[in-house]
Amino acid sequence: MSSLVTPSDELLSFLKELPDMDIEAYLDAVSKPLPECFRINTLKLSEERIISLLRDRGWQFEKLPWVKTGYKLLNSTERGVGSSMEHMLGLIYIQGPISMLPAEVLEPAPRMIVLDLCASPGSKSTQIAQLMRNTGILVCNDVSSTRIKPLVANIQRCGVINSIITQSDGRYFHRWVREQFDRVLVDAPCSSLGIVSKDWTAANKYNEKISKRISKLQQSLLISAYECLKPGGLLVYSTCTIHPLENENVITYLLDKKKDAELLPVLVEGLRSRSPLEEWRDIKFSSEVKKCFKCYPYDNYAEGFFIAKIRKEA
Amino acid sequence: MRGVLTEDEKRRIESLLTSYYGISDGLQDYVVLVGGENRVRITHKEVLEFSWRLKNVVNMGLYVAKLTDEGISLSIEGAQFFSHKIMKNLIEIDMNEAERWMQGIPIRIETQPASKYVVVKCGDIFLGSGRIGRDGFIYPQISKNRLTRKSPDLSKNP
Repeated sequence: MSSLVTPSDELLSFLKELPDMDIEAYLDAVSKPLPECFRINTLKLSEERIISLLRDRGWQFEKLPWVKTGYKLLNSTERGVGSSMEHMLGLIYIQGPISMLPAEVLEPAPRMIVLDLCASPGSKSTQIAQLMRNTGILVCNDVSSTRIKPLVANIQRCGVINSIITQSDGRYFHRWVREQFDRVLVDAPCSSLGIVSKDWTAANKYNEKISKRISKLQQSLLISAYECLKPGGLLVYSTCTIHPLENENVITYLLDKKKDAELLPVLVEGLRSRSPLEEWRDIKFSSEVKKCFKCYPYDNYAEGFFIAKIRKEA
Repeated sequence: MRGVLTEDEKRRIESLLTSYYGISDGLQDYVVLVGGENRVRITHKEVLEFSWRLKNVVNMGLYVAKLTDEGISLSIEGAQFFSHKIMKNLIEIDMNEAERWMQGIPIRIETQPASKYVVVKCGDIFLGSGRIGRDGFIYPQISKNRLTRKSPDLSKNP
């Protein structure tokens, strides 16, 4: 293999178990940095105005077809996008190209009541606020006190006015707000095997026990999120991992537990994706999981992601 | 003043905004809260009411201004939010100065305003408040985590 990275034995043995995995392509993709992408924050100024400002300042970029205000940077800026004035002023938000997808799939609209259950650092929350045009109510929750700080900072930087930030264990969130939300996003904590380009240590720490434990946590978060959803409302479950226990398995669990949950197809323009697995090892998943979006890092030379869209029967 | 402000307290903030920046009726459609470090936040009434159903609320709404012993300064977002209503103590700078401003470097002004604070903008991009120094410079009131570069030498404009 000509790849630059060397996976741990445990990771390699897991990758070999995925029937549709091209290990060499995976290692090649995760050896490369993620493309530099950003969203234009229309809560500050219009998209046209910010585009014109960036172009005047020498930025070259192209539109990402699957997200309303998402762009891929084509040239590098003097100090890097993260240190740019545009970023610090909240005119743009730096975000992975596929990571912009869950908020779009959620279809939040003005005046809705929306919950982002695992919100930190706020990439998707700020995108949701933008799609809600700063109206309605956006509850951004995270369990971790250390992760609340960047969430607060990013919500502020983007000029979000309709937010409530809470620090609670998402598994029990439904106890206070059952059937209150039009939209709920669960961008669940995961083994992050789809974004190892960002941080290879996550991949090298991978072990089967952690994935099994995270899967249980994800199931609890998803059930709690579903309880928070109004009848007729939409829920999006997403992870940046490629592990079937954290993806197909969690969705199958929800469909088994909640008979009024309907999986909707996730249709995306401009991205390569693959069919989720219907069985893995000795586990059979619901055939409905085929409707979910799934991609590996080498499919788009970007993040690996899994996205499910669920409607609660009205 | 602390927590959710009463109508009387809200009027006091409004009168400060009017006196410092010529902003009138800036808060009338919003609930106003004052939290730690005398930070003024605004949000919608429905957001506040919904928050009563939740536990462990960390904060809500947008931090727009800060009450100080010398008056009231606007955050970057506060300045952008009130942009169309700011009628006085508004300083226009160019893009090069804006870059320096965002690095925390003070800028020189020709005529010294009577106010302790001014709002700084570059075209339609608002850059928050600056504090007027006795030396004829405006000092950016920008939190460290919003500065574009930590410069050991915050040298002033020539």
